[in-house]
Amino acid sequence: MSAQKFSRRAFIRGLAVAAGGTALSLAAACGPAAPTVAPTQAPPPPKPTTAPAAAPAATSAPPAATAAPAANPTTAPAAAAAVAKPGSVVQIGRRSEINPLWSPLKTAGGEVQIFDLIFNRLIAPDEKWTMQPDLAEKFDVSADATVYTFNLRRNVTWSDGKPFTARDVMFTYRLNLTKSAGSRQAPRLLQIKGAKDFYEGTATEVSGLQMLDENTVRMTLEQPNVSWVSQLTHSSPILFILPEHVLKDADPAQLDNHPFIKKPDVSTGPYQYVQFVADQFVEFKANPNYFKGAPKIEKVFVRLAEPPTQLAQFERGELDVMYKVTAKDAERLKSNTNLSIIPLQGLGVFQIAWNNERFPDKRVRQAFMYAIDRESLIKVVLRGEGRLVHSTIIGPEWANYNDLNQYKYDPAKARALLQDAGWDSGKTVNITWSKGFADIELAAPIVQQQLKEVGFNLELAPLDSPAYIKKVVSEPDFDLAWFSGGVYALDPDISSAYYECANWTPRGANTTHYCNKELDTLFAQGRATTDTTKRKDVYARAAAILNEDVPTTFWWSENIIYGVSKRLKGIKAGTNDYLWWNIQEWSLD
Amino acid sequence: MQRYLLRRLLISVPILLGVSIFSFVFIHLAPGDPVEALIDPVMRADLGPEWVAQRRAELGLNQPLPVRYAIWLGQLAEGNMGFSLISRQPVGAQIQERLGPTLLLMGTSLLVAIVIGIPLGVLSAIRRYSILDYVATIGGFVAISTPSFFLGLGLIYVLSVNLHLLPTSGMFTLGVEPSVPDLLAHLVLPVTVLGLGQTPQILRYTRSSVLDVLRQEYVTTARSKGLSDDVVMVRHALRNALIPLITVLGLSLPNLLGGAVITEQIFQWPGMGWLAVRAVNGRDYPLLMGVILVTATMVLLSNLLADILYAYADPRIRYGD
Repeated sequence: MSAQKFSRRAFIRGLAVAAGGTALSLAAACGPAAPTVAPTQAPPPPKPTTAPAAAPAATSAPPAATAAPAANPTTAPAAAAAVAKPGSVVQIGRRSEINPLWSPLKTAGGEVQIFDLIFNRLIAPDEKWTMQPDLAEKFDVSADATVYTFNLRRNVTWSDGKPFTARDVMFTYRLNLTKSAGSRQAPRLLQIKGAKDFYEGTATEVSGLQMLDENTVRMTLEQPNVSWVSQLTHSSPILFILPEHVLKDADPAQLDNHPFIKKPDVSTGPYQYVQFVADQFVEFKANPNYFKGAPKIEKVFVRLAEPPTQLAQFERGELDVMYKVTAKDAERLKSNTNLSIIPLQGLGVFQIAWNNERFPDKRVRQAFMYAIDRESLIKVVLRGEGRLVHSTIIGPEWANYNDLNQYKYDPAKARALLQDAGWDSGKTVNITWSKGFADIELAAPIVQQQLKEVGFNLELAPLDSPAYIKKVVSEPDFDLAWFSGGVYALDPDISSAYYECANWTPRGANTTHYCNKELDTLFAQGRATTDTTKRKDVYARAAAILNEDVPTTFWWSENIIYGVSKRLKGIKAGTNDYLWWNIQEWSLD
Repeated sequence: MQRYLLRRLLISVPILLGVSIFSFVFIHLAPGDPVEALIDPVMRADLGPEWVAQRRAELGLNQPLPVRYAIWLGQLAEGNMGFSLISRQPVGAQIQERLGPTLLLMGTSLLVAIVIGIPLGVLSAIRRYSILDYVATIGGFVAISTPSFFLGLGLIYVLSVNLHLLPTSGMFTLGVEPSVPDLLAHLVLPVTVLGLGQTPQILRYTRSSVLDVLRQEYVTTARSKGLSDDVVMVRHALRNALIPLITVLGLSLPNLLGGAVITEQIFQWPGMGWLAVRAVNGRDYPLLMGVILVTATMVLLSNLLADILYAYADPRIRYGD
């Protein structure tokens, strides 16, 4: 220390100055350090006093070139007249796990809703899940449900100006059927004639996929399947159509590294992709040439956040659309005059899958159904936002079977059944679920208690998502698995994937390892005809089997609750949980 | 001193290597893998096992562990931390884009904690057992016992949702040109939560350190020389009291880069903590290794820094020769 020139005093002083200086300079440096965020101007104030005033005085006033509402009704039509209101922003909330850089071929999660904003399919559902023309202005199905012909719209252009044609459709389907591309849609597409050979590499063309002319595509299936197009689920045979001219020279095996996959900025949809700021949001801007009409809202941000934060953002007015508001919060928000709560009848089923190989006696499973007071649980967990179901065949309207065993709460009967089955009440059964399902977490202790009263010991063991998937699906080793979701109400055939003998996990989706030949036959019959009256009978019998055997003990179908700001107009809600299916018609006050 | 420094730096290398091996093995022991993590559990069953196996092969996950470690290490030696399995972005870039926001958040919080904690600690010590002392101590206990998510959400609801004083979350307002006032407005709530969490520790350390110094003989000597209380405090007692704080602050330095997971999640702040948790949940091995490595380096360096500074500040400490 004697060699030191400066004194300790000066040193400590210097330290304090350095610390303060660093903090300040950090603050300054990090100010403009995120320039990638939010390029443009025009704030969306919570109280739109000064903002481009809504309908009235369309002539004078704002820079807003909103031809849309108040303007001249005579020149109203078509995309050309209506221009997106500059500065109009809609913010949609999504949970944090979105990864938009995961390719549209492989995406299996919430990213699908992101791609729905920028890409189109051949047909798309409206709010009632009725298939409407999208890129295909009409389609027909042959009487035996094997031939699907799509007539494509003319005069649709990609956002880079190139025309959209049948070649894009052919390219997209071929790409998805290329094994090295790793598309998750491939399994459903294998139903097309010749697809298997193409997929395995023994054919260079897909014989069932034909381009009849620049605007017509025909798909022929191997087996009749009348519900092929209605399965507009995450693994849908009706794909997002990708631009051939951008991807045609891409190596299918290296597709994930292709710049287009990382930044899909050539698209046909209502919005165009702008940027993704990791962990924060995905930004989109309106496509003025959208073939269904130019969107009225200039920008869309899909914000990623945890549910409690989203709720706060929504209440504050920072978020315009909130997906999956919990029933409890919805109750509280109903009294808020700036927000609307929109419950949609859900398509999924809240259920517990049993390992039928470990628990082959259906009396045990039936006892389980009787032991639980499902009606009360709906009141407690869902606050009434849901309906009891008695099988997984719960829709559409004509496929709703209510004269099945209601399994009304009856602990005495449960005990009797367990006794009949010789159930050892000292045995403990393990139930697992993927963490994060708030409904399950609410219901679990109550269920455990009710089961204990009939002599059934349940051990609760939630796992995080990858571990859950390993235990239940990829290397099955579970007793009971609890989950919710799916799109069962779309078409009764959706259930077939989960119960058919050929679909046991890990090969397919049948986690219960249930096998019933009669049920398989019924499902095949249901797929083979377009006659709804015939299908209704077939599925009635299938539902009865599921209701009697309860391979999964099903409980309810919960409503999906959306929270929407009252500023947002043009929303058409039905059963389609993809609320922004008509986003080009939305406008802000 | 130089020899000491050199020795410390050299020994950091095997330590980091050991940390990396240990971490690599451990994170791979967790069940599941990134491919499984990317898929909605309800939809997973629709995919066949071949599809999953193909994806795993693409990501290089089917090779034995030592091989994968060797590949990772080799890449690291070339200065490449690899690519995130989930986002396909380079790990280095992902960490880099979060360093700024993390430093800003954590640095400001630490500053707030220092600015509140030290003066309060000193005052508490001087006026021991006074009202101020009790208030500071009890306040400190409350602050440290309140879970950060509770405090965070509470503040959001009161100040943002109900009173409309501040934004709820994020770093900037969306759709608007970024500006420093906007950034500062967004910084207030998360810094309050974190700052309040760190203040009690600094306050207590300062308080006990000052009390310790005030008992020393040289303080009595200074007083008996006739110096006023203020002069005694500032010129003699305070500087010596602040020295142990260097250690405390040095130990908080790794947090500057480590981030605060829960606070970042609640406030949607793009920080390292949230990145790390996402990497864990997604079994994103390269990203996780990158974060662990950066954090471990930070810990080693800040410990070294704290030790060196201590040696400068306190002439009784000598290292090496």
